[in-house]
Amino acid sequence: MGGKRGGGYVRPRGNPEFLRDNVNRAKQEFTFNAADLTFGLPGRRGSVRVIYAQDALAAATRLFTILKSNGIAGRPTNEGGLRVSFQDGSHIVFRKNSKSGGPALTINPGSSMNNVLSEHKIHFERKEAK
Amino acid sequence: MKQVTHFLSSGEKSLIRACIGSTWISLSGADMPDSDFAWDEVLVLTSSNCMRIGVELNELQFEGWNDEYARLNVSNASTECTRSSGMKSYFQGRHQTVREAWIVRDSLTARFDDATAYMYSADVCMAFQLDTECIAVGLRSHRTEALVIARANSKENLNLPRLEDRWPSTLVETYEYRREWMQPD
Repeated sequence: MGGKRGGGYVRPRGNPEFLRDNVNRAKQEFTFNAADLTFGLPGRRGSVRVIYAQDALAAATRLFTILKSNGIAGRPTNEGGLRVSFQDGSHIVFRKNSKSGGPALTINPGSSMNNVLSEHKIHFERKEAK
Repeated sequence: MKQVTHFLSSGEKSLIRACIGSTWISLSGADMPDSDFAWDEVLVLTSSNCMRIGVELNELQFEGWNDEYARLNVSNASTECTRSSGMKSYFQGRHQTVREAWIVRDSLTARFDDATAYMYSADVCMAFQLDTECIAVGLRSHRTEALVIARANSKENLNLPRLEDRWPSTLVETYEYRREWMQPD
């Protein structure tokens, strides 16, 4: 017998479950601290984290590309920052050139991201070749 | 000790006060993927005025380094703005009278080794009590230009985001976060 397969629930774009999946994918490529649920390493500035990479911009772009998947893109900021949101209020902002210098990613988890992700900002800095 | 404030001005408060007694019409946003989330700004249209509630990032240095902090602002807008192309409008609460309005003020006190290092206070939200529901517009985070729109039957039942996650306490750094509701007097 023929007929259509599936027919199950299809997650709409912006569903926070996508972000949960994205975080799990990102953990495979980027350092993730399970104790405080943040990407990167503690930096010199309070809760700001740092990811060191030979190509800081490429690393920042890569992490943003993973995390934004199936999110809802917002309009870019006046400075060209890219923004994406999910239906639970989770949102991510990526600036290639933050005011404090270099690429930066701001991650704000929403109501359904408890125990998955903490609010944090990540600066990407160039790792000096040894 | 450094003390930094991001308070609404008396002119901004008077715009909020002007809504009291008017009839609620709509809440609109140009970049509003859902009814409870907006980037940059929303427009609150009542029978008495059209008010733009926006958020911008200000660069400050009170934690020991330069960083950006979201700041709410309120201004008058033209009614025509709510009809611009791409604008999404939500009419929950339409025809209801605005009975009361509040400003939500959050204050952070940072203590390092038991000595107060700085205090940061900001107006982070405003709420409007209509006949049968309460609608609030506020910061979604201290770091971004995101706004949350919360709805409930009363202000006590509003599910407003806690914004203290930016300042996690450690063994030597303690952050106390306090929230108060104020009339826009």
